[in-house]
Amino acid sequence: MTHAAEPAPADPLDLEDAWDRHGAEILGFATTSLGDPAAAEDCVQETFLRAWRARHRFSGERASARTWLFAIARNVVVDAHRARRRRPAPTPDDRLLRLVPSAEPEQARLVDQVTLVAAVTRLRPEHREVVVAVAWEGRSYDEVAAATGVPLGTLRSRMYYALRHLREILAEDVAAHDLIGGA
Amino acid sequence: MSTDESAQRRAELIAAAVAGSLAPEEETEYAALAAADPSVADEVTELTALLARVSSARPEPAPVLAVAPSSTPTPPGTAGHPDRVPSGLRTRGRAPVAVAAAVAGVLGLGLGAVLGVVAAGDGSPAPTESAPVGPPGTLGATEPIAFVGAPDGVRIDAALVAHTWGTETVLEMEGFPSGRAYEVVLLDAGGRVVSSGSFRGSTVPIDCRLNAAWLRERVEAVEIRDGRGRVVAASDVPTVTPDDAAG
Repeated sequence: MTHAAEPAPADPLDLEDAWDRHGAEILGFATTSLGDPAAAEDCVQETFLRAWRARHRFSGERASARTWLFAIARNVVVDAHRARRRRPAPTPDDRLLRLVPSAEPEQARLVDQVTLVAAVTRLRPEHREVVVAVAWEGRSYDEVAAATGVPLGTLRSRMYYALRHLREILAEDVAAHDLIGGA
Repeated sequence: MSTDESAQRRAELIAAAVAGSLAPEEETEYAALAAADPSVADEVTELTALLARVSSARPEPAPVLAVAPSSTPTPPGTAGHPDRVPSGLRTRGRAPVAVAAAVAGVLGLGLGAVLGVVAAGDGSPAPTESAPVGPPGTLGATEPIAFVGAPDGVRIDAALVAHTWGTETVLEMEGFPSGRAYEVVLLDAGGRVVSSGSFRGSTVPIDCRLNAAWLRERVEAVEIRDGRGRVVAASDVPTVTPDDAAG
């Protein structure tokens, strides 16, 4: 008895399209986070490679392709940071190990930092501008208004909606992190 | 005040409170708003904590503006070939190449396509072999610009790179007096100015990359100014439309 060959299931994620849509901003995120364009380029490659491998776990109903890719990119960038900081293994002497502070808080801070940089990257440009200027460059709204010509009220409003959107992005990221598994 | 205006004003006051920048005359207005709407104080508390968290996540070094991959080569992946590796994965990169090569080898694909990024690492304004190319405003492409008015003995090689969230100014310079500070600014058509960063003169060649959060299509000129704000050298750059910037 013969069976008709079943068609291969279609990819739930169109990576070509995802590349076109999100490759640049993921590269921007990785470059910002790592400060090293070459390492960032590698991270983008690794992100899309992991995404390709894990593409059958993607569900457009549970997360957008952008959210899913950024969740993977965040893991890749965290791994890159960890690789940079990796030190020789400590001696197994328990007495010495007790003197070494746990690496867990540092790792948690690293993950949080990378997560937040990714979230800022995902903001709309005009929202990102005011967040970067105020939070990272230490400028006041008045200074930003004087430099850009954007009215003070508009800048404040953009900051308000930027922070609300950041809150949503961070919540999405938690959900997406569960989706990507080990990717 | 309409509902929309009230919501707008509420957002402005909350954002000001979150950044600790309420003007004295706004303190009373904010207090009245918070008294009438208890959710305001809760939101300020929450967003203040979030802004502090973001501030503490400031990348080191200072944020590098986005770099944009070039338009990728003709993609091999199609809907009819769901297992083919997307072209963007085929790269000249280092570690990923081995993985991509293994995958591509299994799938019978070749390597060699590149992911283009702007020149990096050596500070040279010259594009890498894989950098995007195109008219001024093309995302990621290096756009040489020429400065005029530089003092005798000063050499400036410069370029702009358009990014998705700003404009990068790439400078190779010699001859700026050691120890003096200079600022690089971008100007728009209305004469408004945004700082792209600053540098100090040096006896050795200066290679630097400065960034500003203006999109390339807004930039009409670049100036180098001394510590008193006097223009040391200036460059009028081609006008770019949003269509150009689409890359």
